[in-house]
Amino acid sequence: MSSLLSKNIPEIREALDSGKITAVELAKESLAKIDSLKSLNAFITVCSESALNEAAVADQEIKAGAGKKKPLLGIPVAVKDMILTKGIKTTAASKILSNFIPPYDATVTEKLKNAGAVIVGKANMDEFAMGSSNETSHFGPSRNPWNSDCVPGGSSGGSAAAVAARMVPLSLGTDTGGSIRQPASLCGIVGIKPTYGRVSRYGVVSYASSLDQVGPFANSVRDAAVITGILSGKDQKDATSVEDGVPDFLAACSRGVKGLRIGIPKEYFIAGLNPEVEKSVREALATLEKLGAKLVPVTLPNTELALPTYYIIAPAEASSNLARYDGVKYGVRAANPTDLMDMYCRTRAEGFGDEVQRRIMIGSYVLSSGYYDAYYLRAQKVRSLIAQDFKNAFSKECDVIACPASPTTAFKIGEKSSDPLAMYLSDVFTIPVNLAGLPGMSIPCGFDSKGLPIGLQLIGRPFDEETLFAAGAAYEDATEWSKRLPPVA
Amino acid sequence: MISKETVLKVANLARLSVDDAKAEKYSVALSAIFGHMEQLKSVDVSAVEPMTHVHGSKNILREDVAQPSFSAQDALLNAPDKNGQFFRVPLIKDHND
Repeated sequence: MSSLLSKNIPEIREALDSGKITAVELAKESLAKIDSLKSLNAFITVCSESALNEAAVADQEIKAGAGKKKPLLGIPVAVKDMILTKGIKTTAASKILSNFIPPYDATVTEKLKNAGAVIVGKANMDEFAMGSSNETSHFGPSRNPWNSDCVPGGSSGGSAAAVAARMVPLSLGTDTGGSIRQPASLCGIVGIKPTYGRVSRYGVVSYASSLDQVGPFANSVRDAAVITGILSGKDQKDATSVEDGVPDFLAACSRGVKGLRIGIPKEYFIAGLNPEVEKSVREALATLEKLGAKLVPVTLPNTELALPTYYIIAPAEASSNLARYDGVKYGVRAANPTDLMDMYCRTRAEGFGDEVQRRIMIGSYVLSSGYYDAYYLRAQKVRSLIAQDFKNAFSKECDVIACPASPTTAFKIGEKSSDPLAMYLSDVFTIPVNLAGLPGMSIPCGFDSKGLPIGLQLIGRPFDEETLFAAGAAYEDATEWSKRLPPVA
Repeated sequence: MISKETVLKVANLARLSVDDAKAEKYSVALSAIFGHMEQLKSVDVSAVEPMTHVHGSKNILREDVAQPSFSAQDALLNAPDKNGQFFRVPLIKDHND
């Protein structure tokens, strides 16, 4: 049964419900795999003890037939260390939170538990989700299962690596500027950023509140559909979560793409796009066309403004959100402060890493008196223009947009870490989606000549994840990419 | 160009202690990053409303009903320093002293 971790939810469900394997055995398998692949550094915390306890409870429930009502009952999952887990250390990959044990669960954690999931560990990530390579983690970089010299992408790099290496069949990440879709692309798995407001952010460490969204990683579009359904819905504790019925995402996976109008934005096929990535993405588009979709050229003229806009808005919100880390109520406090001000300033300078401090500085600058209008207000206006581009395309020309998820495949650890601007460019195709608040998905669509995965990004109308699942599943059914495993799996 | 003096001023606003060498580094790094943002200045936004919320914002009202919340004990679990039911902090004095 050693290959069960690389199966999809229905097969795992069947094996558990029929007694072929117990949840405890499956959790042990997952924990053993995590241990044997420790060198990938995908986890900050492995919670063996609580996982085995949760699995034992799940086994009791499975015996009572609860597997029919709880889709994830007894299934091991990993949770990004940005998401609070009651009683389990949650660090946001930062020194400043390295001793923080949350007294409550995030809403998404609660939802996973209610669905029966067994949380095996907290996944590595870029510090406070600020990064595109997992290299800013206080706990060291996570590595790509396809080539351990390469990054898994970021910021949800550990969550992506854990699923790609089949340590777990499912994991949670967060996506503020591409932090689910870019690592999904670089690790060759499915990753979804739901529409802003679809999933509660309560209990998720805040980075940029107008952009942050939780979403899943999975080995198939259908598994991603199941878990997206579990995570979705209005939460009284998050005022930005939206009162909107949660559709049957799994059912949407069987719709097919006949007659679907897929918009191809010319601004996403530009210099800087790796030719092998472009080739694979274009082949994927041809496949979708063969399946009955109609490809239509669209234009999103303000695309090139998205990156500078994001790097004003996200740091501005971050500088405000991260003001709470002051060494008073939780987290690490600098030793021997001379007075309160000294404690604040040294706690933060010693507790935050370089990239986080850089973004706090950018944010504080653009919000400071004299610069607010020139930078922050202007960026918010340009954000309106970027959102309007998508509205125009979706209102007349197309039902879904397809493009690359990342301009390159996985790059070497250290290759971009000394050049912030080069690193920021990794998210050039994913950032506009967050700025416009739209749902986006990355799905495997090929490999480069070095054997590294390539991802196709699908972008939908607000709250129309169903069309993403329909197109994604149709493509996945017609191709074999999702079935390829990295050698370490 | 973002001067070292500006860096030090912003660092103070952000409550980050920054020494001279680090301020020099920030001056160079932030100047490069803001150079990239100059692109936004050429966009005509005179007729554009700023986007503060993706789906538009509206007030969300609810009844004011008391709900259970953390006990003082739970709230203090992660405190770096505490005294009885309180968070303890170093002496607060006028920073200009």
